[in-house]
Amino acid sequence: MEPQLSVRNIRKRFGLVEVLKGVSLEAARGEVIALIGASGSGKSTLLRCINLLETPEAGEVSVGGERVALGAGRRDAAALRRLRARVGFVFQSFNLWSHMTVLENLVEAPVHVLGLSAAAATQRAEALLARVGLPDKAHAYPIQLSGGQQQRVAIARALAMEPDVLLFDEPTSALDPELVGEVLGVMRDLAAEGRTMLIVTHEMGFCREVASRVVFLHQGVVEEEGPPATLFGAPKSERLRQFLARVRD
Amino acid sequence: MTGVSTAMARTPIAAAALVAAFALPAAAQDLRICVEGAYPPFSQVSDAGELEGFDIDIAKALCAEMGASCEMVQTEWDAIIPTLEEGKCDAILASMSITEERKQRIDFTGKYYQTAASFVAPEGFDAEITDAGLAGKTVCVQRGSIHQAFIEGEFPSASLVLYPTQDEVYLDLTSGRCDAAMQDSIAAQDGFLNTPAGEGFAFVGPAYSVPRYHGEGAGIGVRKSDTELRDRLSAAILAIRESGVYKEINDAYFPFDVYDG
Amino acid sequence: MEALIGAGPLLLQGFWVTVSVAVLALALASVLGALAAAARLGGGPVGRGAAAAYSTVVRGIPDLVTILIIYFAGQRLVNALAGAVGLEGVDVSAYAAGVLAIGFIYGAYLAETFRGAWLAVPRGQIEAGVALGLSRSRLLWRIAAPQLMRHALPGYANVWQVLVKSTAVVSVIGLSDLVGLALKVGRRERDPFTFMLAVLVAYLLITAVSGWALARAEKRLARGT
Repeated sequence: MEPQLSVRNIRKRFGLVEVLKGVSLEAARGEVIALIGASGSGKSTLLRCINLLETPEAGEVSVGGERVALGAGRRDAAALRRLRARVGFVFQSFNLWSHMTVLENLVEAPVHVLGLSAAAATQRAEALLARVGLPDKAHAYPIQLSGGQQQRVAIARALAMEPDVLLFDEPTSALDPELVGEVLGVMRDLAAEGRTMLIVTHEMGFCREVASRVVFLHQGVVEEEGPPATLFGAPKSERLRQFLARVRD
Repeated sequence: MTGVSTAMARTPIAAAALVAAFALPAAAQDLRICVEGAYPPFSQVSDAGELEGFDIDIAKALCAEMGASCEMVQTEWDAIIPTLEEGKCDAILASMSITEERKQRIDFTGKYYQTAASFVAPEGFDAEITDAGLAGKTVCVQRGSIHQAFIEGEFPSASLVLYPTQDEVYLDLTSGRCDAAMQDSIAAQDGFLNTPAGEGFAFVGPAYSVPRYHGEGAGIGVRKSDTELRDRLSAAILAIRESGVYKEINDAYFPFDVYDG
Repeated sequence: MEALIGAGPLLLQGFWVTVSVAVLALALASVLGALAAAARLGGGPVGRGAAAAYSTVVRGIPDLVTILIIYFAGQRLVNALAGAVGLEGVDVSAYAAGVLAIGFIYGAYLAETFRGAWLAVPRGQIEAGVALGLSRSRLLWRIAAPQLMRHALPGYANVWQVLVKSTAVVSVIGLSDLVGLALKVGRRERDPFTFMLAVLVAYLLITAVSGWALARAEKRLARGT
């Protein structure tokens, strides 16, 4: 069976620095992959390359069968938008549209990208808000919400597109410690539903508990990967051992 | 006065006319005359928004005399010579004194009026109007005017006080700080003596008109290349003097003949 | 006072000239400012250079000089162009020159306002739109523009207030605006003070009305802040 998400040989450089040196990754339907690594290892860049917020120099991305070859030359903007619509992205800093209510944030893309009717999109949005535990916040503006609430709305916004794959870029790093739990809780539920997810995170406990596979990235290459129990329990690579020692204390 | 267009060149424009205003074709008039509209009683704007005054009437009379159809172009004084030079009008009729400096840039017709300069003083002023008679008297004039040069040259013994505007000269004359003031006769008549503030004041001494100080009178300015127009206008001035039209206009504004000052 | 009432209709015409020149000039300035800001932010080296030159040069020249250049040199240009293609020249009207000159001048100021406002729109919110697959135009109008307007509004209001006052320079090219007319009539009536007071009241009226409108706009755009 074709994997839900497949990334092949992605290369990306910023100026003289090659941040990704040919990274390949696959996720089967329902797999939750945790992407870990020191800062500067390229894990956030990899995530941003998958839905083309960054343009890689080379490689290929395919999501749910929609394939986009990357690299120099012109690309089909419509194909790009189709790919993006299949990939949900949750940012570290939420990035809700501050001049729109929660509900408006949730219906914008379903209506204008997927072509849903306003009524259908609203219905979907309300269901999603209930699911992330914010059924009464539809008409609030983002600024009226806590960080944790905003991130849950951002997750709902991504889900409203019914994406094939969800990408999380350090979704709890900007939150006060007491708000981390509510966001991880929502993510845990999504994993349990069988969503395909790729998560960049520093929450090792969460990885151990929720991830079906952990990928350790070091200096732009996949250094080691495997089930969390193996990776955390018996790391083979010296660099992973050092990394784990640092994040554990 | 048939055949004379008296419309202001730039009447205030209603919104509907805006679009048209952006692409007005070059006017079909024979002659476009730059006037100022801000120098009463020679040139001013009526409450109906129309130009009026001595200059305007003279312009209409000259156009009728020449059989030309004319359009008045209202222009700010500071921009009036450039407006002529750029061809946005063909002649300046705006009480412009014929001076050597202006002759460097434009040509003038013969004068169409010449104002004299006179002393104004409180009624009962009895000093003799000579250099000796005015010795020690405070004489007030506008700074940088032809009148300053005239007092300095002809009445050096007078104690001269200078003001930035003519209005301030009148103010200090009424406050008593000035014994006498020297200025353009018509301006003094119209702008001071005929107003409530001028009560109790009068002209004293003769009306002066010394070319060395007071220039050659007010002429009509044309572009240097337009000698034919200049000569036609000069001839028309003489013709309306001859026909009595000039006198008619003159008498509507002034109790004396302004042609000779 | 009687003279003021008599001149009322004339002054009202002048008032409309002032207001209409100001409004049209603001519209032109908004277009030029948006183009210049776009060129400066996203244009190639040529666009960036041209936009920077426009801002620097125009803001460095007195309004009076710019308006005279456009009125007179603009006429020469039109005549030369018309002559080149064998047509009769078109008269650049004082009204058109006034609107063009003031719009041209304040476009340079608005370019800076718009550029700053664009830079103040959070990048992350644009990225979120990109990530969801929104089209470019949708991103621009639904996500960027409302926030851009909110950031631009105080500067825009400021430029408007200055622009309204600067319309008084159009009287130099013979356009009968409020200030020019009031000065002339005041001189005619030997009572400039009364007429200046009338001008003052008229300008206060413009300021008050635009202040009220801008406050409303600000309130609308401030949603979610």
